[in-house]
Amino acid sequence: MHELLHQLIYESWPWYIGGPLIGIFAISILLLERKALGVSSSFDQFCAVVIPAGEKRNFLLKDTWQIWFVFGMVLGGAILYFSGLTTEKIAIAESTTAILTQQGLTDFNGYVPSELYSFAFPQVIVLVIGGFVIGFGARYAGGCTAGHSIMGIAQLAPSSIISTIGFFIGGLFSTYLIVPFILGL
Amino acid sequence: MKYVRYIFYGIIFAIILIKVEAISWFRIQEMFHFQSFHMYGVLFSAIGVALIGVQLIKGRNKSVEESKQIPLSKKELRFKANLIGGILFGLGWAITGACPGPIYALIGLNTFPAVMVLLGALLGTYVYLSLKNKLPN
Repeated sequence: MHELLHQLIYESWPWYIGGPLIGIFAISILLLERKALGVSSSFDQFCAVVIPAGEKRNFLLKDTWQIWFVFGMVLGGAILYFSGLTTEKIAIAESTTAILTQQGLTDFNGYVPSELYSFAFPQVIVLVIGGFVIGFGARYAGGCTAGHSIMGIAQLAPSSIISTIGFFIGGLFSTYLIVPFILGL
Repeated sequence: MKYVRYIFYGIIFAIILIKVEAISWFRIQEMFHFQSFHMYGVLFSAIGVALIGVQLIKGRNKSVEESKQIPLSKKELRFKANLIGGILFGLGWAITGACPGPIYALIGLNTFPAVMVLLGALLGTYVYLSLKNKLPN
């Protein structure tokens, strides 16, 4: 028991702990707050702060709870960071490491590669463009991995199933055709 | 006080996503190369547990008066928007290795270049909102 607790605090979690917790979390906020889990609506809410209400704003701002929620997400990351309870290196499959090495990646430390997550040119442009299609795509599709792939599929919503298929079509395209190019920059 | 609760939920959600490594670019690449079950396990088990929860709530909703029911609304089906938007989102997801939740968690983890991803996402949302009525649905 003590050993298990130690492992949960200091090490990464296996999928069979983290995955069900995400499901329990989604149901909990539905029960406690009557709100459906979703993160990308926060983008709309931030934009609504910038675009004044009126004719120019062609969408309704129903709620702003996600602004507080994502602020909490930043805090959650900071708590783990400053308490040192993060993982230094992700134990991905050796076959994936081999592919990424072949594509030009050398630094496998941290949660994201320092060679991509950098303010240097042209990486910073890649990050902004990547973010752009995430924001545009998520709002166009009506949700992201949280709202569609988890909360939506759990309700067997056709819109969420189609969107998630789209997520994977786009993801596979990037993985095989765009990421190799980016890592070679 | 409710804002404090929302912030608290965000902290919990970020900790789960970080601890299960769903915020890792490396994990996302591994998933799209189909070289590990990890991310699929996370997705499938999260969906499975939420699905059971939704069914229980549905059952309960039938036996209580309307004011006490838990609202369950599916997102509206807009085939073209769902598919095209989904594909665009997927393109960015594999490049940055981050979907919206992880972007925020990464910033907290002192990975400051993730701010550029957030900036891009807000720009993308702004452009989408401006073009909304002209796009196929």
